[in-house]
Amino acid sequence: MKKPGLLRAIIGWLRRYIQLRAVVSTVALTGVALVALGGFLSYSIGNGLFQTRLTQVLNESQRSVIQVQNTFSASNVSDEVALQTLMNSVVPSLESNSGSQQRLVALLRSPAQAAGSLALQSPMSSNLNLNVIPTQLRAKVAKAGSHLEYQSVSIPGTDGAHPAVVVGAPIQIPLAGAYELYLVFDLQNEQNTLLFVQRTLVVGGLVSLILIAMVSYFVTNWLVAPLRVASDVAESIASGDLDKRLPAKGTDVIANMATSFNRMADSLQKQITKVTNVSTMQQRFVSDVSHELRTPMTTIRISGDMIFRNRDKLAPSLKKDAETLNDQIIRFEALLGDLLELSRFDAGGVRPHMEPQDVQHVVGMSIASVEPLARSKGSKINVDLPSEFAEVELDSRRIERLLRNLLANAIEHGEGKPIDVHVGATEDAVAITVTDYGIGMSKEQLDRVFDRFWRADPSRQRTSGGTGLGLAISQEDANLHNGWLQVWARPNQGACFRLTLPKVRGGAVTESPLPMPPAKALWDLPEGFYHE
Amino acid sequence: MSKSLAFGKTALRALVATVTGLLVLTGCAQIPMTSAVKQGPDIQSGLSNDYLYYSPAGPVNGEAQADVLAGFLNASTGPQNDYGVAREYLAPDFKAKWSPNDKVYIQSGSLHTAFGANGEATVTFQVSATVDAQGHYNSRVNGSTQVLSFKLASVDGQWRIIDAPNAVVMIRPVFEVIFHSYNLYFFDKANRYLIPDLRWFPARASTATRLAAAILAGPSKWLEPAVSQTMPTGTKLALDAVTVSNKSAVVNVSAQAVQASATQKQQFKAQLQATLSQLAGVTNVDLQIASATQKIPEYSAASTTSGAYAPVVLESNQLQQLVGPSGSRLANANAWISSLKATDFAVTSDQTGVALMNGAGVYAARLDQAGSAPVLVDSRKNLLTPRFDRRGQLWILNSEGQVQVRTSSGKSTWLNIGWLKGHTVEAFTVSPEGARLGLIVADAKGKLRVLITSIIRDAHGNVMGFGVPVELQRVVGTPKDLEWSGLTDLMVLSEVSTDQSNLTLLSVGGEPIEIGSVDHSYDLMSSDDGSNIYVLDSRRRLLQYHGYTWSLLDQDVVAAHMAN
Amino acid sequence: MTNKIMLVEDDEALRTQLERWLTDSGYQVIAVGDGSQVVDLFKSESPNVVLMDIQLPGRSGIELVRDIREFAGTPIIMVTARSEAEVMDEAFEAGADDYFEKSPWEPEKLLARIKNSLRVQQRSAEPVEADSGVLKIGSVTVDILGHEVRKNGEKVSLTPYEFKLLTTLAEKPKMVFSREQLLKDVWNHSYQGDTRLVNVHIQRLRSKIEDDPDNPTVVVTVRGIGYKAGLN
Repeated sequence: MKKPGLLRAIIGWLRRYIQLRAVVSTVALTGVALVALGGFLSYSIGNGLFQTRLTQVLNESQRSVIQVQNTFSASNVSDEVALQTLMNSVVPSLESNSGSQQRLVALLRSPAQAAGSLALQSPMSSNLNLNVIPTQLRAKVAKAGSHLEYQSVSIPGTDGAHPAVVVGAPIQIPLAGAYELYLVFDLQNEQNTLLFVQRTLVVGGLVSLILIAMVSYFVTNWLVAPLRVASDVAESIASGDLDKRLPAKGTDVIANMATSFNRMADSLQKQITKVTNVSTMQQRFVSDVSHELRTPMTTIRISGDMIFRNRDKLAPSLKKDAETLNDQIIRFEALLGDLLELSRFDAGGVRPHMEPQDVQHVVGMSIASVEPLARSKGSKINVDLPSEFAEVELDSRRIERLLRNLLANAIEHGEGKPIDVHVGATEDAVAITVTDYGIGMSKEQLDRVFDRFWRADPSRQRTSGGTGLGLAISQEDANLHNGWLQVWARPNQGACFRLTLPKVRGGAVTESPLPMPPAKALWDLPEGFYHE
Repeated sequence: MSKSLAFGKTALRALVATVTGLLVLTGCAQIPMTSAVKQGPDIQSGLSNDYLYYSPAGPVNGEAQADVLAGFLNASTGPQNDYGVAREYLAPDFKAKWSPNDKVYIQSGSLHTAFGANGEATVTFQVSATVDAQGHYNSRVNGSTQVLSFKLASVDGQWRIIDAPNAVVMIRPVFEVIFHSYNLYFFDKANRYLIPDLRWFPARASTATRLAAAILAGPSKWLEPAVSQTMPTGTKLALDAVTVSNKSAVVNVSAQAVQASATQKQQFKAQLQATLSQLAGVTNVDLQIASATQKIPEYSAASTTSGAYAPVVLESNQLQQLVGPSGSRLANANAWISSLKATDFAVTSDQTGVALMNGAGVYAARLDQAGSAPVLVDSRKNLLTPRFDRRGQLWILNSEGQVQVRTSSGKSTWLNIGWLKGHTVEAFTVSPEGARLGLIVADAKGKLRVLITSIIRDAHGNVMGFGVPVELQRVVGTPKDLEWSGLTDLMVLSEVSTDQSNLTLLSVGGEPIEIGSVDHSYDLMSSDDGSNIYVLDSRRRLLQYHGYTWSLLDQDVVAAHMAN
Repeated sequence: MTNKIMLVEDDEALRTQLERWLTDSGYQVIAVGDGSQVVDLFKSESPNVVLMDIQLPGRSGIELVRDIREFAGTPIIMVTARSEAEVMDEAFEAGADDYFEKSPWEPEKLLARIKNSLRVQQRSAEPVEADSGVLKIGSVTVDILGHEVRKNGEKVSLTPYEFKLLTTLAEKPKMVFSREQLLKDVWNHSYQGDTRLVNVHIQRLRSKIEDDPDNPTVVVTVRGIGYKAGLN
């Protein structure tokens, strides 16, 4: 079902704005009522005007016909000239040319009558076109006995066709025989009056509609205003101004709503304050733990480092212990760092440091940092960068860490095969995919890939010294940027991670600029599992 | 698409449909420009239909010449629709040329039709009277024969009349039903009194038209010298139809009327009003000149009625009003009557002037002025009973027809009626408006005639002379006295035998009407409208006529006259 | 001549072990556990390098750095825990020259930092080839030979690291140095360096030699890449 764009837009507005809807529906319904009323008035006034005038016309015609017939009955004409004079006198005595009230007259020989010897002319008003007298009417008049016959017609006027009534009656003229008298009454005056009334009705209706629109606008405004205030206050509360309240005056529905709203806001404020307090305490705690743990950790590390540095001076039996000790201390420290990072995310205490960065630069830095690892694994990193400069607002430290994580992950599971890095950008977003062609993942593995302490292959946990928290932190970092971190994988064929970020802070990502897996990937079939 | 939206769409669609429908409906709300033919109100009830007395039948296919002609003549009885039925017998070309109003023959006896060659036909019949286009009634001497020529031809296989005289023929009973008499009114020279002029017209919707046209055509010839002309010569009806609406007759005259003075227009309108108000439903007249409505003030003619309905009697040397209030003024004359031994008298209608007659002649005196004494104003021989006219002028005639008219101020005019030479006047009477003089005249052989003539006056009402005489119909017996009865009739008292007298009404245009008979009488009195009739019989009794019998009012009456 | 290292660390065990380890690595060590004795001992012993713990009882490491910088430009390497990254800016602003994270313990790195600090001083003290001569960047003249910097003819006192930073930029005036490059050239950090170190040092240098530190003309920022010496 297709709808014109404008109609759709109007319906959209109507749905969106209750006030507009109320005003429009009030105006529409009132409009229908006014049109109905106007139609009825116009119709009955028109009918009344016509009937009144018709009665007048028929009475006048009756008088005129009787007068004319009596005149002929009373005539004592001796010859054609006198008779013609008499007949001619009929027309001016009845016709009237005063503007739109004009009345035209014709005294016509009845077609039924055989042509007589008298060469009498049928007198008629000079501006009367005989075509306006319908043949129907003439036929009826010719047969008529004792009554007037009439018919509504249109006659040409200076300003277009005028409505008119033609009245006809048979007339017996001595010597001349059967004639018909026709009176044409112009009804333009009534039409003009009706037009004036209609025009007045239309103007009045429009003015009424405008007034009604204004009144309904003010009334609905008056009703909607508290809702609008409520909306504003709710918005303020949503954006953190928890002290905002609705003015609650009176005892009406609006006041009740305001009171309920305020009660709800009070309750919310209490809850939020409580939660905020908890959150603040937790952050403080994490911060404290972080500091308090790190100092001894660093001390232990330095001690371990010292021992490791001087392991050759130790007894050979202890040398292995020193190495183990150092390794585990390093691992413990990394684990502690990641744990603390996650704790900070969980506590909501992470504030990204956003600034505009060239995404290519960020990618370049990340790749540079994992080059040594890649070399050690024999993986080649192929980079496909868009030619244009793509500036993105991001926390470069976190995004670099994220990419480094993905790259390290790819290298680790890439089995020495090349790693593909693609960067793509649209107007709103950038995407970076990191693809490896290594062991890949099964569907089950994929579903858990961002879980904390989860490892795809427990047997290989040690090789890179990963803590099992990298991807979880990466996911948090992506979320921190309003971005997406998604993964696609096929068992034994590889995996693809895609990071999509909005270009501006606070922007939303609706579509990723890059496909996943990337079009240029080496896979023959784009089948695989997705996890987002 | 959510369910709610689907519902919204349906509702929206319904809404749009409703609004569109209503807008269309509203747009259609206009004065209609088309419709079926409909029937309006009745128009028959308001029509002034012709009075239908006879409904002659039109021609039937295949009729013979004789039947066609007879049918045509018979259709003379149907003047409705301008003799529409009669015209059906005429050939189309002739239909409009035939002018039936020109002459009416009142036939006595039967018609004799004779057909010649080429469709020619003649109709011969006895005529008792004719009426011309202006409604003048002319009696014919008994036995007058009229021959009318017709020509018939076959038109589309039917016999039709292609030539006929402009006349209709009818027997008297038909004439009396179809034709009515109407008075045309004209002003006298002083523009003071309206003079009636009797005419005959068919009683039709067009009667008003014919009356108005007849007024414009002028009075009867004999009356013309007494009549004042109100409209310029040549003025005609501009529209040959006088219609009546709202009891007002609309008379549209030609543009010549504009030349008439404002007073003349007023007088003309008064003439029309007096004439047309004889028709039912007419009380007023709208005068239009060349279709332009004229605003003309009313003009009142002086009344010609005296109001007297009982005679003043002279008995035992005193004058008295027999019925009604006894005038104290009449008693003023008693002394003079005794001293003069008056044998006859005349009193003005307002009882201010009196004329007394004895063997010496006629004395005039005033009853309203103390110290007034009778003055002998005429001492001629063979004087007839003097009469006052409505102006207060005293008329004294001798039997030779020499006239003295003496005004109330004492100015006398002496006139001679030329055409009375060799005749003897037996009695005379002056019409109430003073424009007509009725006479009983005996010629050298002693044959008595009733004549009527017009009295010519100047603008001040002074008598200047007399018009030509018109002889009225003969009455049975010897006319003895005459009196105006009504507006146009003369009531004649005639001696039938030594002990019986007849009363007969005569009029200019019309047949004599015998009212009744009475014991032998020699003096007649009548009120203006002819409703109260009195006679003085040979035994000097005053009798009053009651339609079927005579009642005795007074005895030993020397003389009795109406105070007019 | 044996180089003298002043070690300020409150934890006795760590101090003892570090002292032993440094001594074992060939340095003369003056170990101090109480912050209040540091200034006096510094004045009497005149060490070549100072290793300064940030968290100290009595006076904090940052305060001690500020005290020392009042009279000496001797290289000071802050010894930190990673969780203290937030206070590092303050330490650098106070005058610290380099840092070293306690944990994870990377002895080679510590030795490299110490060596670099010594080298920075020694080099400037050694006679330099004549062609090094005098460099001029804007209103600043750098007399490499005389280890002297003048701004508008007035002598400006720079620490050895500041001097090294300025001369590194001034010697190759056409080259743009990235922060990492400077970290490597001046501090000899291999990778994963904290570029804030560079940023704060550039600011410190600018505040001393620029007419208007907010609109630098001597050390110019090249947006998105790094810094270079301002052209005349």
